[in-house]
Amino acid sequence: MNFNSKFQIVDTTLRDGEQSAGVVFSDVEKINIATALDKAGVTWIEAGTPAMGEREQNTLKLLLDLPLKATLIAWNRANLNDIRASINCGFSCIHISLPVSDFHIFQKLKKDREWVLRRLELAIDLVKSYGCSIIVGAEDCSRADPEFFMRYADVAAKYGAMRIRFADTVGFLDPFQTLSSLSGLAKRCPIPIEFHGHNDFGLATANTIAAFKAGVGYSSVTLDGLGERAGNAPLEQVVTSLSRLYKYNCGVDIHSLTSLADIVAKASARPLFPYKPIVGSVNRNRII
Amino acid sequence: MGGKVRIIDQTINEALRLGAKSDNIKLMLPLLKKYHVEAVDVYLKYWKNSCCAFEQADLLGLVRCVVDTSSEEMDLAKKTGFSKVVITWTHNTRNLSLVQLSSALAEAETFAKEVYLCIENASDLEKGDMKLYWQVLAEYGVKRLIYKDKGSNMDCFKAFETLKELKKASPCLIEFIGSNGLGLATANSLAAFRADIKYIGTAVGGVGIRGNAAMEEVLMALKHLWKQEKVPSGHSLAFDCSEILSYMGIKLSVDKAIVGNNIFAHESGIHVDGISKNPYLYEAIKPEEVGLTRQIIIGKHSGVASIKFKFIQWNLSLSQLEAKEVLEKAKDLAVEQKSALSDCQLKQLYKKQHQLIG
Repeated sequence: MNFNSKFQIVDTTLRDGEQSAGVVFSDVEKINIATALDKAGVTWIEAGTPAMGEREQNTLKLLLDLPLKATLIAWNRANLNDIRASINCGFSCIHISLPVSDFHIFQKLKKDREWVLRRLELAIDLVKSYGCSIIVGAEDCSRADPEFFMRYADVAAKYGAMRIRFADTVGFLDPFQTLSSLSGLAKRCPIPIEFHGHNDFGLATANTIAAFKAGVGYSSVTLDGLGERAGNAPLEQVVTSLSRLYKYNCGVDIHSLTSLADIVAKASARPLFPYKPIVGSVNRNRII
Repeated sequence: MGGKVRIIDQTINEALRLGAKSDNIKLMLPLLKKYHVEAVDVYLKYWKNSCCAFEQADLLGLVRCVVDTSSEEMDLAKKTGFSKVVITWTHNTRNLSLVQLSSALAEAETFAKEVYLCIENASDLEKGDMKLYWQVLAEYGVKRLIYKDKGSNMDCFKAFETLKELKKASPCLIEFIGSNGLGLATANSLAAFRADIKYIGTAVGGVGIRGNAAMEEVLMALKHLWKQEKVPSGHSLAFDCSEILSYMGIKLSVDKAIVGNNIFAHESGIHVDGISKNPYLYEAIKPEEVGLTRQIIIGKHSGVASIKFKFIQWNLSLSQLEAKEVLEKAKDLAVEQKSALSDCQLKQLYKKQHQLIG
């Protein structure tokens, strides 16, 4: 199935972005970021991880109280207590993440593939019992056996997940590989794929637009590309590239990109590199 | 896919544009030369406004003077003694006359040992338009045709297909210079390499008026993702890039891909737990490959594993309960001060906790 015609942006600044080492957003900053994203037309906002504890849950409740059009998503490990925390917080859209590469399954979790599939079933069952919508995450997917990813996706689909996140967790892909791997998977996968890139080699934007060309339905991005290590695919680069290169309007207001970038640069205490595409001081707005 | 990548440096040009001192620019060059820099492009218009003099033979040997087709620029390039000249040209679909270009190439041929032609808006051209230039390239002995994507008009797939075709048809070798308007210059440079174009324009940190492919990203992607053996070692890359940019008054972002100070800094509990088991779970390459070191950061997202990991480094083995108590205090402090904890702060928390317990 080709979901390209309805490609949507999923912003994870408040979750994956804040995981950038040393970054802390205050409640007010999170509210401002969520409101600004919503106003700019972003329809999916991954807001945080309730399992982090009471303080995080209180912050997330503030976000859930905002009159946003966007859907707020809670990120979870496939841990039943994590999921209960998200549901008790008030989320109705729950992301469940498990690794799908043998490397992560064996070395990190000390489990096996069958355990991962059973765990996914249990976790989705719990979410479904509360009537929440489900997004499934496949961690380290770029280093996983594609056939196992398909089995994992089949389970996700069978139990009612609305999409599956293909995570290039260590930023290992180049765009040619991304196009080639995801073209096949996007056709076979029973639910839409969301591509989640990381920028370890400066290729996150290129990989994300390769995923778009491959026919995936969604991509995760963060403002300023803020995120773990060298960060994520920058929202401003992905949105502008789609518009300029493919004449595709993903619904995000291009003219709000620099102000969005500024809000996050300030909140994260990470001044924008002057040569950062689109939003850096040297080339600000040049390409828009 | 193979062969040695040859870097055409655009960093020095940006340094000149910013008004960097001549002494600083001379300090940049030996660092750049560690990374297969074949040539250094310097726009005459920036050079003539600077106090820079490329007197030493090793510097002059590297520098290519970039000029437009005006007689003023050609005269100045000739008078200054540049032996390598890049003539820049903008393709105009409404005026296909090459008289001015031919005249400039003819003039350059009289004094320069090497002449290059850079079509700045090459990525605007339609398929087949480039044929217009074959005759002048052959007639004036142009060493290489530089395909520049000034407008940031390409994704890597278009870059690959276009450059692959161009390489077959062109009477001379091709170079590629990508602009980074959309954050795609590194990917487009890899596409060029894949199309067997080995001469690639880059700048440290991707600096440049329209942005360039970041030298460190192109080199390390070729080395580690595409397993190209002829790429220089990156063992001092982070330091070298930081040093080069410091001579221009520019500071790298802490999360700059390949060379940012924080790119091997891990805070999130899940990530630190993974790193403690096997760093490749969350790191594509070892920090030492680019001259950096791993850091475990204690902050809002830390987990018990992070606390234990930190204290093991100080030869202190904390129980699960101890680690949990320290973690809660650490997270409170991180939120309060809106930043990660220093090692000193973390040790203080532990000491206070122990004093409370008595």
